[in-house]
Amino acid sequence: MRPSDRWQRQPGGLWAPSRRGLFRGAAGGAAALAALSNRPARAQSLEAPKRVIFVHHGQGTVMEQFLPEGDERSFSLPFITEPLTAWTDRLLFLGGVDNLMPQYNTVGNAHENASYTIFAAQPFPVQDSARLTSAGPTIDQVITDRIAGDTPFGRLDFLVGGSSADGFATGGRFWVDREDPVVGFNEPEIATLRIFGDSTMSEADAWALRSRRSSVLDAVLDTFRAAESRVGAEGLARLDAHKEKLFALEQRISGGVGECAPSRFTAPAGYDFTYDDDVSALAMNDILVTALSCDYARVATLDYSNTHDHAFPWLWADNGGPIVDTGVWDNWHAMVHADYQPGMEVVYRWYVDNLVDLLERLSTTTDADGDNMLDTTLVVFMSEFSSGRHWNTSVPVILAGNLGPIETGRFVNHMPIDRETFQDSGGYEFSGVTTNQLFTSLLHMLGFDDEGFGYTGDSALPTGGVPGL
Amino acid sequence: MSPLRRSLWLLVGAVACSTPTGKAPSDAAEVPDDPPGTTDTGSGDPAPDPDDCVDDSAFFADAAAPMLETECTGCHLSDGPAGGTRYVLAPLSDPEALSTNYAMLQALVETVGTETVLAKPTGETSHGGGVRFGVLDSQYALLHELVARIEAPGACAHPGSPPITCTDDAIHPGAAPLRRLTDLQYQTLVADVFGVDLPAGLFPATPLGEGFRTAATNNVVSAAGAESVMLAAEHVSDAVDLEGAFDCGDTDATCARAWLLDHAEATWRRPLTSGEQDIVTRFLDAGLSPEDGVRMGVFLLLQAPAALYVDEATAAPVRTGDRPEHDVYALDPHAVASRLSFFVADAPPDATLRAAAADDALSTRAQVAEQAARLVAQPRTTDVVARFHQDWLHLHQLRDQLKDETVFPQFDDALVDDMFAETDLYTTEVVWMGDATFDQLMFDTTGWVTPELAAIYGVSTPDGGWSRVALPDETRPGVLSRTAFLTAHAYAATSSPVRRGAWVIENLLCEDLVPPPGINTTLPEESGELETIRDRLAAHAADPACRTCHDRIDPIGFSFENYDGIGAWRDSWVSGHPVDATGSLDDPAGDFDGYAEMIALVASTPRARSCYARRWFEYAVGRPAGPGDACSLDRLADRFEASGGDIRSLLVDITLTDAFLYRTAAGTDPYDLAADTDPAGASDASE
Repeated sequence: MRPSDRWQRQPGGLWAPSRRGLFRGAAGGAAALAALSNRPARAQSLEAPKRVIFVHHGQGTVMEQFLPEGDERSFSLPFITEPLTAWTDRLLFLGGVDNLMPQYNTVGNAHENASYTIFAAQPFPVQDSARLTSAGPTIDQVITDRIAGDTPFGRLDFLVGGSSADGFATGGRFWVDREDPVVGFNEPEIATLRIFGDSTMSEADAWALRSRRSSVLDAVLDTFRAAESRVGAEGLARLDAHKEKLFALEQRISGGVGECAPSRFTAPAGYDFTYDDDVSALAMNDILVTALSCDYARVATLDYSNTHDHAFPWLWADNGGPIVDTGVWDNWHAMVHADYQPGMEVVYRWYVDNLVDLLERLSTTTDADGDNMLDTTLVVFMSEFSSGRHWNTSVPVILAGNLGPIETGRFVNHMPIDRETFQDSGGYEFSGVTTNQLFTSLLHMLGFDDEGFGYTGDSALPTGGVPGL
Repeated sequence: MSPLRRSLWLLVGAVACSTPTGKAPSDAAEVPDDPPGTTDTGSGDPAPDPDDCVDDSAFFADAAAPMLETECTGCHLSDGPAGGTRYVLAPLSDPEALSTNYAMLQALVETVGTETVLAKPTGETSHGGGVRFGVLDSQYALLHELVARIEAPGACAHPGSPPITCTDDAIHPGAAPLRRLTDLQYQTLVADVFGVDLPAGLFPATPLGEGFRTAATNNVVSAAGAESVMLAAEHVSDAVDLEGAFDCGDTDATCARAWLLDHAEATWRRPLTSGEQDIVTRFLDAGLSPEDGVRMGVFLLLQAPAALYVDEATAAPVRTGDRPEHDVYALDPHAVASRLSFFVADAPPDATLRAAAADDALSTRAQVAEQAARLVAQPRTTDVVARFHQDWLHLHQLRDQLKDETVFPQFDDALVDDMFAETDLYTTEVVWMGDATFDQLMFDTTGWVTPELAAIYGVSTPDGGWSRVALPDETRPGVLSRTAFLTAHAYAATSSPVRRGAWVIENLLCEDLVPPPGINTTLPEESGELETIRDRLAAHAADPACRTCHDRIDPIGFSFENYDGIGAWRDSWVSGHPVDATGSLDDPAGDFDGYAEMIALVASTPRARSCYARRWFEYAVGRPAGPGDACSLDRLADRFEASGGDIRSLLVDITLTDAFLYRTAAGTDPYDLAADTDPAGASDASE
């Protein structure tokens, strides 16, 4: 069926699902599943993945150079995703996953609409431009709450680049709760020290330090009781959230983090962690994989934060010159606003190069149980847009590693578009498949039987997982 | 309107009787000396006077419909940007407009309810057109009366709860989110109480972005942040100099206990309960050495909520709300002291202020005003003034600027530092050394320059360091004509009239610009037909969806076009065309040629002064102003006017507002409908 049967344009130019067409769309997806395989798919373990890693980069991609060419089991990878060729049997490419949530917002600019909703799969909780926030917890936190168990950190979060005065930053995509954005490490040395501890300290000194901190945190938690009587309900909620984090910190410190070989990072001369993303990306991959292999956390996020004014100088050689021609474009953000410009694909491919590095590290590392990390980890690679032109339809999605019962080695495409119309400046057609369904599928891969995820305010939205998986 | 059109509409209009709502008088001339202590059950509207009735149809034709035409039809016409919503009006030039529009309002009230109809134009709930008017404005009174008449034709009564009204005895504190100290405030706390300089970056950094650094939402304790707080506190506990701590003339243990409790009161800015004293001295009592016990005590003191958050404790109830969580309480004097000191000094209360709180000498507005005036006169306020203006002007963007080095080879980090310092020197001189008026901030031509900045301004300097110079009256009036603002709101290789104009609309006129969803914000490229930025923006604004905002933004933005991407003066664009910096505005109404004339028009208005006061208020209370602040803001604006725009007086006056001295039981704003929005219901928004 044609996409226009599934989606109808609403007054004001918005698109909304046609109630009549949605279920037919799902049936179409089921039909696609019946396609014959000519690529040997990897048999998946029925054992659910132990861990999940979310990798996100901003400003979309160049879809015609990202999306596999071919059918479900026989496809080739164009320039941006080409570095993944050797890993194809461990991957699932998903085409045509739409973030529909910006449609339900009436405030916020395009970036806020995408960032605050992409992993929440909900519109803003308060439609007030002065108080924008995400309707967290986002999918990463929901998964953390379910699978992190008593790991010391539960989740670990990393950013590549980003403005930072203290070695921490937030990208605004991952949220513990509304008004509570995830704050991640963006300085590798601080990350190493915080996660693995001071390796120069003797065991006795480390034990004494832990005891001291633990005792004091106990006392700090006791001071919350009096504080709670001095605030209203609004303040109580904030104190509760704070207390929960302190409690987790106290638990981690009193329990210790066990013995694990720390990741080693030596900063090159002149290294600027807010800018030198080529160094930071590999360092963060290393720290992330090491920390997960030690079972310090079961969920990790890695977010590329330099999405606005970056020049990507380490890619200039590959590009034959600067990526952003500042004589034409104000900055990277302005450049990706436009239709395809030469040089964009070099940056987007670099994100994929780093995904390959992550997969390599996972595949050559065993966890605390002696299991191969790639075999036991679900990797989710996404961007908040499909294009820097602020398109929220058909955002790029690659799943890797252990997808539970879902077969890898496939390209499941719901993107209702002819490859020749990639340059259509109006945005991609709605596919009928949503991020809500994608995140439901992730929960299914982890062994949960959720019927849906995120926004439930529109009964016309499809529920369940992504069709055709 | 023509008699014919009016009579046609009267045939279909309801004929009924009601009375207009009067706007409550404001107490502009004086601030009440004492907060009301009597219980107030809220203010109602004046009783209708049957002799004063105007029938519903006449009211709609003569008052409501023209207001709707002015306020709504910029978007809510069938071919306008909001033509696809449930609220579409006919222009009054249409002979059927009155009947059509009245029927539209009736249907709207029926489908979305009166609250939503009232909340949309005031920005209390989502509205693509932003805030059209405030709840104290005459338009709101008209709209309120219109929905009342629709709900109860001929009843001469208002439905539901009345709009917020400002009377002497009504107290509306707005929301009071619990606020964690900013990084600078915490560093100052540690330095003041323990004499320790906390290394930068140890305590969680307060992000500098679109919102003010003081906003509660900018200072949430994250999981990583909780550990950072612990490490910062640990650093202080290790570094604090305890020499003399045990020399009180008693045993070391007794002295240690006294020292620790004394420092605990200073750190927490209030007396401790006996239970809290037990916690703080727990390690001393457990048998640790006095020094170890004190250091452990400091370690915990600095992580406690009482150290990290601005106190919100309440004293007496002063007003009964419609629900218990909306009951209004006066703040505890120690909480007032903390709010006051962290606002005007970014520091904990000093000894005088703490003594005033302890002596219950902060319970009247006169007492608060006295302390506020004392603190505002102290040097620390200059830093607050500088920080506010950095945030207000969005100067954080300077640090992220990528400039085309072929166009601006002189642009580097050192120049950015100079631009920051120049702005700090200018704003603090205005407030500290000068007349301290808004006019001086916006129109003074005194400048602070280094040789590098002097080169941009085209002036000479006597030596190589900082110089105070007189800049040309015709090109450099006020803070918006200086390099920092002009550079922060520009593109890599050139100026940005959109960014500069949008800043003025949003922060000098307090209009909320919300781009319609799905529009392409990329300007058409320069071409043979589109030779200048004016041509390109005109082409962009040909799209009606874009025009709504750009009709407001662009004329103001073009007035800045004589300044290039780093603020240097130019008479011609790069293309060689002479700069055209002319424009005109409807509100405030006037024509101008160039920035100096534009700013004279815009910044000389009560509206601009009121907006500036509102932004300071938001900085002070750590949140955006909400509907429940209408009375506070109205009084504040009146007093700012009466003072001749005196900024130092404004700071004092902010500490006397209801928002500063009171809070509701829950800390939420009873008038804030948007805060109660259920995300699942967002799809039901009417536009």
